[in-house]
Amino acid sequence: MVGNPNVGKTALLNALTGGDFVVGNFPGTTVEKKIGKGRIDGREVEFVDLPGIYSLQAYSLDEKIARDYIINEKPDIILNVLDASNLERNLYLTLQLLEFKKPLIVVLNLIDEAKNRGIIVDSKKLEKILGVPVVETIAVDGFGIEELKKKILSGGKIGFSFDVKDMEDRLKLAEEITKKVVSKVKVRKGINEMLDEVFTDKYVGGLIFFSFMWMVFRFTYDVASPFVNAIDLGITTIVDSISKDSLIASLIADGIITGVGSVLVFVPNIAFLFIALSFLELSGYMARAVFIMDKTMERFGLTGRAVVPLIMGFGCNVPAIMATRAIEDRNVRLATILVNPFISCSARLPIYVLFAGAFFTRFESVVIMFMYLLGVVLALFSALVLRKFILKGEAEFIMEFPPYRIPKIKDVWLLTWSRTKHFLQKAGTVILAMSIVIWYLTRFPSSDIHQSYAGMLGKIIQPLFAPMGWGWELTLALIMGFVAKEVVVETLGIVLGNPMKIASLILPNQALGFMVFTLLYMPCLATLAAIRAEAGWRWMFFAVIYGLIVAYIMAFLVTLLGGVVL
Amino acid sequence: MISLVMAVFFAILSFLEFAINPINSFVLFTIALVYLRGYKKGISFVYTASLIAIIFALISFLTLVASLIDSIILNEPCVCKFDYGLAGVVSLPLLRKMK
Repeated sequence: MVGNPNVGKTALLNALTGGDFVVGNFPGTTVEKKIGKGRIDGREVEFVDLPGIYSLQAYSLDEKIARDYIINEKPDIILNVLDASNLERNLYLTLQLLEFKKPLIVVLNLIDEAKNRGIIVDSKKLEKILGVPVVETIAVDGFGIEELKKKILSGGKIGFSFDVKDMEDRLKLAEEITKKVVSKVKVRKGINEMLDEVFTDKYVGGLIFFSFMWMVFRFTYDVASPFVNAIDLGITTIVDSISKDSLIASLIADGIITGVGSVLVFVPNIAFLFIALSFLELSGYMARAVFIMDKTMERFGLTGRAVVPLIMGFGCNVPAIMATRAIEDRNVRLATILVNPFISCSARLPIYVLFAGAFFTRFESVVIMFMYLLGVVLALFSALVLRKFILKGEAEFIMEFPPYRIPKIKDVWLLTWSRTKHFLQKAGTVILAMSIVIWYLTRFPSSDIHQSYAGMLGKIIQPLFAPMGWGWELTLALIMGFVAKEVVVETLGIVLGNPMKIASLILPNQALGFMVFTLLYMPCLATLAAIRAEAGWRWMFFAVIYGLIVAYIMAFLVTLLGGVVL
Repeated sequence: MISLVMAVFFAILSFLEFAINPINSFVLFTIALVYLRGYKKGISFVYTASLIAIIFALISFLTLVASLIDSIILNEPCVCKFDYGLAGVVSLPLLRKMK
């Protein structure tokens, strides 16, 4: 299955296989191929959903993936998925695919959206011109899927050869074919046009974007609050009910339940953040946000294409770094990879929620939003420095707007679950293992925490952070947090018994400095692995050292200035 | 004319909200600005401003409900998180009419 970005390939894959692959309304949802199996008339068919591409020139990594797959894997049939409302641009890729001389079926998807915009496509005529079967579909509603299945069984057809020498010829031919098969009827100004006029308005577009971001944070913190408190209450009750007479009981109560529990308690915040982001993404608003931010991105040496990975970074930096594959320009891609760890991922949210709740009651949401904004500002500033002095060059970007859609509850759920699941998996593996390690370090060789390995380790490193006034407990949490950022809260939970006791250890300005440090200091292990895979060892070490330097300077400044203001 | 009335209404709400939460006040001010721009540029702005106002009112309502539930869970006196964003519900009839 190959087609332009955001034409509904993954929705089609779900319709054909009955699968639950995550669907987006944002160009670049698929950056790696997805494989699904379905049955047609008792025969098993394997479908491969390739990343959305505009051409097979292999400029960007996702174009290369798609091209290599078609050439090397020799698929039985190529399903070329087209957006019926944007035929001319989609046909460019179709004409390239015809040159491969492989059985092809053209799937004319999103015909409902085309009709809403007054665009009527004569699919029979298109079939005659191209010489391959053309099937009209609305993948999300299942329309046309049965007919498509029949065509798949019949094997597709090798289309006509067109006399095209270069890109210009192909563009011209796509334009000519479109003129022959597309007719337009006049429709009233639709909701898409109305909303676009406002959301991309040069005066209020930016203000609306920041308003929506604020609503996301209120939803994440304020609305999720009862769920957080209920889980917290449950965990505290369980821990209190366990008698800690034996070592095993202490390991279970003080180590595993307290450690894993101190992270699990923030699952509602993370799930609510993902619900809100899924709504923005699936509704089509996120693409407008990219447009609004494009000019700003240019000023910092990035392109609008970098916005997608940066926004994805709010969820998790690992897929966000993988999403940079859609960026054609190598230097822009590298810059986007290197600044991505500054974008505050969901694993850092528990740290903000804990510290904001303990030190800045009544202004929790404001402080949390400040952390997110600081991450974005520093990421952009770092990109500017990188592009100006190290990764020099010019880059351009073109992006189209997906239509606005009312998000389907199922899609919101799938998107939210696929992202939250990752967090829960970590709680059951890395965080569970770390709970045992931290518990051991706090209990041995002496049960007095000051004489324990953890106490010793924290005290050795602590002088480095003396300018910020952080004790050994916080220093230890930072070291452990290198594995995964959630472990920072987990460590405080185990070391202090209750992470909220942090309020008695430091002052609000020191707490703010600590939050800033955790936002910026070295990426977690998984992110480092992703940077190494995408950019190499050299850039991975650069990300670590650069992150540590920026984190230290910023945390020191915030602690110092905070001491004056707070 | 309605866009002008709504712009003034949301500007007053923004002013009142400022002492409670400045960022909520910013959102209400943005809604007022979008309505105001609708006075010159037409229905698209009035429609979108009403949509944003409703979404914000919904968030404010959910926050209020969450603070009530919180007080029950924690067995504490209720600190109801009221904000003027709730008043955005007045845009609902306007939105329905335009639809």
